[in-house]
Amino acid sequence: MDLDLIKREILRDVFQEGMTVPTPVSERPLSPGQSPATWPAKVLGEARQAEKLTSVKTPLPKFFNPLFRQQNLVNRSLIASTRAGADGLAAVMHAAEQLNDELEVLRRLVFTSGIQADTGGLPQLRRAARCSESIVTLPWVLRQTTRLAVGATVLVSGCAGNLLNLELASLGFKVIGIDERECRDDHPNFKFLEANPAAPPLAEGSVDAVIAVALLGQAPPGALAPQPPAEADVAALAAWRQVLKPGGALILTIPFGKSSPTAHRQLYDSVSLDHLLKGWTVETREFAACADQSSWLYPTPEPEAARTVVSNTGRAQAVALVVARK
Amino acid sequence: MVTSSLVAGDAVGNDILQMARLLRADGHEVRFAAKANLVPGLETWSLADCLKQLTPEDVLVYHHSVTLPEGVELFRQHRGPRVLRYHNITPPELLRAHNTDIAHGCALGREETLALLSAGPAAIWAASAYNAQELQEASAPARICSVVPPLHLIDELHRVLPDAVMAANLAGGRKHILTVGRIVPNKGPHRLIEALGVMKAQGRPLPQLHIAGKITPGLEPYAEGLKTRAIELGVTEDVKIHLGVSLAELRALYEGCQLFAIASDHEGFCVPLVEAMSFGLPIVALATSAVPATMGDAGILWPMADARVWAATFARVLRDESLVTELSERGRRRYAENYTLEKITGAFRHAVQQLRSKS
Repeated sequence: MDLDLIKREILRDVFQEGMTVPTPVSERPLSPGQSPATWPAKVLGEARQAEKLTSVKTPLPKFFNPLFRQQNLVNRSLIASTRAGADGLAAVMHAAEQLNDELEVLRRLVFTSGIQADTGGLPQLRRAARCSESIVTLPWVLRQTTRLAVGATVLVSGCAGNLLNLELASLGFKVIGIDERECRDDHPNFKFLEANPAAPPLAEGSVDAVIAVALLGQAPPGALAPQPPAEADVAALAAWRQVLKPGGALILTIPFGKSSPTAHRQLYDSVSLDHLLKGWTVETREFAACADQSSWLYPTPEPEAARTVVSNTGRAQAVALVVARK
Repeated sequence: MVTSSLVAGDAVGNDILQMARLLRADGHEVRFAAKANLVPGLETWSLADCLKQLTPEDVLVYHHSVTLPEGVELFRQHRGPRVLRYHNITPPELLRAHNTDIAHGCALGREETLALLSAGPAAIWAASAYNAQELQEASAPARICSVVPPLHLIDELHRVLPDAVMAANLAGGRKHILTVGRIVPNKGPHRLIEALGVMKAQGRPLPQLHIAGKITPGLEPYAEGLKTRAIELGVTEDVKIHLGVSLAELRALYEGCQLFAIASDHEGFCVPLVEAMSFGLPIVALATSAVPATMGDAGILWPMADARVWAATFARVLRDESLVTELSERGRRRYAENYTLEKITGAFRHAVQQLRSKS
């Protein structure tokens, strides 16, 4: 008996009930007409209130102890890297995503501040950073922005938790960030919209570029395999196309490699990537891959990237790097 | 064997007591040291006394599942071979919104993992490949890592007579879904209640959901929240929470339910999955942490916890007899091939042998 087939049938069953895309996180509206789930948000909200009230219990001075802070960094990097959070792959794990956001900022700060990894914890942090796909995807995205004129309007879909918003805003772009998660970035050139990043509530033809890093591929691999792209991704690209100006650039990073039921994200292969990008003018189609689960190398030939399999912790070991025009 | 709390019946406690039984059967002397001992009649050393009692010839096996600074110190100071038995620790982010103190404890526990690794253990016995991978990503040498699944009491669970009252409550035409585990947010029982709510809203035949576990002190509001949510969804009578079930009650639940569901965010191994397999109970699980590897292809694995998808899955499994038969066979086969006490005992003895040869 083919369980993947059964799962597809189950999804079809769900779709027929009016659900257009599978929602990857549990804490979402439950059925048409129902307001966003009050549970566990309600309880979480209460808990957060309680947390505020009891926050004095936290031994705050400890956080100002450099050793503790360093251990804490390492601890966070350990958690994030081992729970597939460091590179944003565990889309189903909301909490891990939040942690990943923090880690991403920490990681970039560590590397941009020139802190030397000569003491206890930092080697682990650096190792976690080296293993993360964002070590290559974020610099690659910044490199692609040279195609855009200074002052161009850039939509960053899935903007929470990295320094990209601020970096782009500081480079003179008018940045609109969209995410369902909280984003506190503050910059004269940055605006944040709390909304579904795959369905930006913006006017048609209003942005010069859309950037989506590690956002695609979050459909259930077991459910929609073996024929990605997932409907959610196709819908996202259609939504981004709508808000792009004619000739606008779509800058994407997409998990790539051999599909696996243990992958945290849907992995694209050459065929499904073609399918996903159908109708777009692809300007750049490059790949990076993680060698020995430790170092990312760019560029990697497409066939080599296509042969990669997920790590033991379910992380993709290759990524497709795409720039496409509307 | 050093641990924080020695409790009979939980996964770590069972593992410790079974390890001791096997080691003693092989002619070793085994002593326990714990901060708290909840096993009646079992003699334990205090952690403070433990170091004085040990000689450099003794092996210290440290069961790491919660924060225990004095245990880490003991591990560091012992001059003989030291083994890190890694059960994993809940990532603090999963609990921070519910109880900052507990989350802080988890964070400390995770920091202690690094301290234990830097102390240079002679061997690491990880409860799963996932746990081993986690440690290796934190710089543990692969050559000292062995995967030894938790030694469990499933044989005993099959030997005990099912609790008659529980069995009677589960009898009749109604279908029942079971989840087993601590009643805490990261184990995700709320997701199953949500799925039940969807089933009700959709007018599907409604199974009864049984949540068997214990409430962690400090997380009582979450357990109360489960009841509140059940009321909101109109499924109050369809959700039964069983606190602190006996082995006999647990057997009755495994035998009387038609589906096992686990929607946990984080598992270092997940013994209840294996228990369900041993009873041939069809499984629906959330693909997180060690769950995919423990379950293999023996159940339906979803990478997302969308209540609509889970509701549809429950409905499908509960009405599709051929699917039930298939999942049931897969579960029993996976259990027989990988997780019988005999199989795990073999892995454990092999790990011990490796340690001996190194020593």
